[in-house]
Amino acid sequence: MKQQFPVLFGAITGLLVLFASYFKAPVLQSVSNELLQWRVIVAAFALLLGIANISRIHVNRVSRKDQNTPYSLMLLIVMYGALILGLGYGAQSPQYKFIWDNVYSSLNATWYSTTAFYMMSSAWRGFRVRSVQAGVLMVAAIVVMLSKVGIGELVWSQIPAIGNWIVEIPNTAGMRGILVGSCLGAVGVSLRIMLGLERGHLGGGSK
Amino acid sequence: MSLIEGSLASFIVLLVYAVAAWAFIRSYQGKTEFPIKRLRGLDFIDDALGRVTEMGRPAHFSMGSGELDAQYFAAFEYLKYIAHKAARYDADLIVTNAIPEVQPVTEEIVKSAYTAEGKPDRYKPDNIRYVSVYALRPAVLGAFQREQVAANFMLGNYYHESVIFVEAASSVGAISIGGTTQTAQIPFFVAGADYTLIGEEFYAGSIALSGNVVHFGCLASQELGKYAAIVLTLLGAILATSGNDALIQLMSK
Repeated sequence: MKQQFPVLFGAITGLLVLFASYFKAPVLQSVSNELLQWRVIVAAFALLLGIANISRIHVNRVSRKDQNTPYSLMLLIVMYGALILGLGYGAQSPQYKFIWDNVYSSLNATWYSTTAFYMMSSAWRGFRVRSVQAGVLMVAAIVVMLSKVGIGELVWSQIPAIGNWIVEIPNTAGMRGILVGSCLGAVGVSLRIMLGLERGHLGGGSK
Repeated sequence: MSLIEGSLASFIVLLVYAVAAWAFIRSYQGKTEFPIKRLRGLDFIDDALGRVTEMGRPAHFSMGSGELDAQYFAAFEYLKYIAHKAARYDADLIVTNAIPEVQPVTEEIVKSAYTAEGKPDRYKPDNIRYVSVYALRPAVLGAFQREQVAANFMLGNYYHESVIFVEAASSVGAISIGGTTQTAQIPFFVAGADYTLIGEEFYAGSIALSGNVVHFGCLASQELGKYAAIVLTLLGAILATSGNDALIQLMSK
């Protein structure tokens, strides 16, 4: 029953939402919209489980008093501080917006900008020519990079055109081929879930 | 009740796919051997777990920060396999989740795997971690450095964290195995990871690991769909080049 109910519930709701995207039926559409709203509510409950998980792990670390205790303590103070401010004053309040704009957004932007350095490092390792394919990758990458900067045209006037051709023809063709295969795989997984045949997410000891 | 305009072609494709899958599942019933080649990526997973055991360092598994979609369900099969192997070899497995819906699922999968292998005491609840989407990057990088992971499994719906994780894993000497259908992230995995499961390979690998007849039926149907897509692409290119839009009209019905 512990496994059968979620599978049955998933199958019924999945098929209802699927049929609603194919058939014109007001009842079906309204049930589908309602179920999609439920998804948001379920996700909110799952967030509570996430908060409980973070709290348990970091309270344990604080109680162990190891070298990472100050970081765990800081995390708990900031997490619950922001939660209390948000619940008490509202998400649009100046107090909550102050944390959002001055702590969260700036930290997030900092992290996002570090991606450039990781890309450089990845490109350095990836472009080492160890095979014919790696050589093709490197030549294509150099041509495309040159085509996107002004100096490329100075090196050779045809470089922008060749760079655009690489991006628009072989690159797009390859990407679309991968997408078609991926979409067929996703349809298979979705069908199995909707027909109650997918049970990988239910744990169990099948292996 | 009538069909919504523009959805006839995709509905027919879905029906044909489902019927083909059903026919393949019926033909595979009772069989234990399936006509599928062994993906090298799956051997890499075994090698990485062997390395984890030899070095006495943990393995790390993450499904990325993308929204919940079919990739997560495929990733659960990988997690199940990796957790069973980790439990069998007495290795530690750290799982970091960025979306809360999968947190209870991953806890259940890993706990069940350790229990099924007869080692429930080796299961560490604190190793199945939830962090918010934007905290995923620093949390995973911190785990790599502090816990010196020996293997990094990045299988799921990845965004730009793919390149960050793969480089950070490399800096601590960890083997990285990536798998996603996000076309924008595949180049980063190919450039930095030791092995990458690209697009449909990612789904095929999860099916191979599941060993489930229903999954193999769907995979066979998927292959059939792929050939149909190739034929339609070629036919469409020929017709479009000759100025005939009959196929485009048919597909947009």
